[in-house]
Amino acid sequence: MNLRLPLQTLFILCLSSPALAQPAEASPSGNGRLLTTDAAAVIAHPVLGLQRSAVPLVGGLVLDTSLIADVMLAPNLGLRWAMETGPHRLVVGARYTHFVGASVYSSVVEGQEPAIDSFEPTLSGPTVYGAYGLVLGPLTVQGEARYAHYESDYLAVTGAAAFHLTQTFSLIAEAGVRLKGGSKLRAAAGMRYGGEHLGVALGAAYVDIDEPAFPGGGFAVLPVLDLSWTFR
Amino acid sequence: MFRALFPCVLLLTACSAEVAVTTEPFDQSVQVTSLLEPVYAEVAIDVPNEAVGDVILREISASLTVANPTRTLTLEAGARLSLNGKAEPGTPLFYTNTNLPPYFTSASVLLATQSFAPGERKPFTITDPVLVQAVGKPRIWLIVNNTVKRLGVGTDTLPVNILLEDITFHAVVTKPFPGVGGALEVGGL
Repeated sequence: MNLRLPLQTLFILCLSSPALAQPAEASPSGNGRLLTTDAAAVIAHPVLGLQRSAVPLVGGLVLDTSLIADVMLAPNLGLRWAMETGPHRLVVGARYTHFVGASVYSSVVEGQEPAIDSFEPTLSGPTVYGAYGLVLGPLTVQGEARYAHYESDYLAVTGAAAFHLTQTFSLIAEAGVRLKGGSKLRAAAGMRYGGEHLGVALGAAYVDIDEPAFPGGGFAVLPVLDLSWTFR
Repeated sequence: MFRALFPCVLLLTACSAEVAVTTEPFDQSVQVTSLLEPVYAEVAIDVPNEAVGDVILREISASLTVANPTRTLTLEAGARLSLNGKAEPGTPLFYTNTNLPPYFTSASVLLATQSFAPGERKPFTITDPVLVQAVGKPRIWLIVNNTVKRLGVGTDTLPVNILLEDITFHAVVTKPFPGVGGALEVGGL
């Protein structure tokens, strides 16, 4: 009985939500990201964002880059194509990353750790990904597959659900498996605000990184942050 | 400071790294108390975490200088590599033939036992394939044996010290970070 009241409240909230009244915005804002995966959504306007900045070209095609990686001296450039037909969303993309910061990072690490003569990280290679999403009223469910070939392979398949509490706020849950490039299970939860211009995502991702080079031998969870500004 | 910075460095950037490490040189003196009776000194060397784990070896060596500071005694010394040990960095362990630890027999000879004349100082760089065993290990041990073999005419009296100077371990490895996919995901890559 105690549980029913919040559920009823949520139900009423959903019914009164503009997201239900207007199933899909004609020309959505945002940078096409959920928390740690691609959102099955069209990028309709130029957007400057941390996880992705993009410039639309023609026919659902955009030129994009991960600004976070760019700032970390791993410049990357990608092409992403997305379409929507009724409730269906389809995304296909590819990206190439070319790391240029080996000597910069090495000098930082050498300065901090006397026993290290040099530490030259590498991270260059292509990424391809695809996502399919289905809009079911306020709920969007989607699946993403992503493969990257750096020095080692990365392959993950992830399912996600975004529940639109209102037209601008959504709750996001992601879960999937890494077939290569990390621990098997991946998951993330959080929320995203997507206004006309401002986009904010906050959450936590279960990454389960087990690596002696990290303090404490690794991380179980990492914070997720994305900020974006859509020019429209 | 470095530990705090390191995740930032690596999170979005490294799927592998070429790492060269040279452990900080240190000296160790080994006291010899009796004639013809070998004394063993076990010293621990910690390898930086950045070169620990599954790594691909490019280059490996160990170096040290053996010095016989006596004026009249001939010393014999050699070195073994052990992947087990009880010494801690900065705290060596000494033993003799009467109380050898069980792992002594599985230690591999790095430097064959040889004579050091009075006053002799001899540097060694060891690149023996035996060292490959040490690759990726967080801590390795050197077990150095010392024996006073011959007493000359002079003023040296037991105990005497043999000096091991500038003990270092050097390795160049490629360290893959196959498990950091989760870090790439939060960055949008």
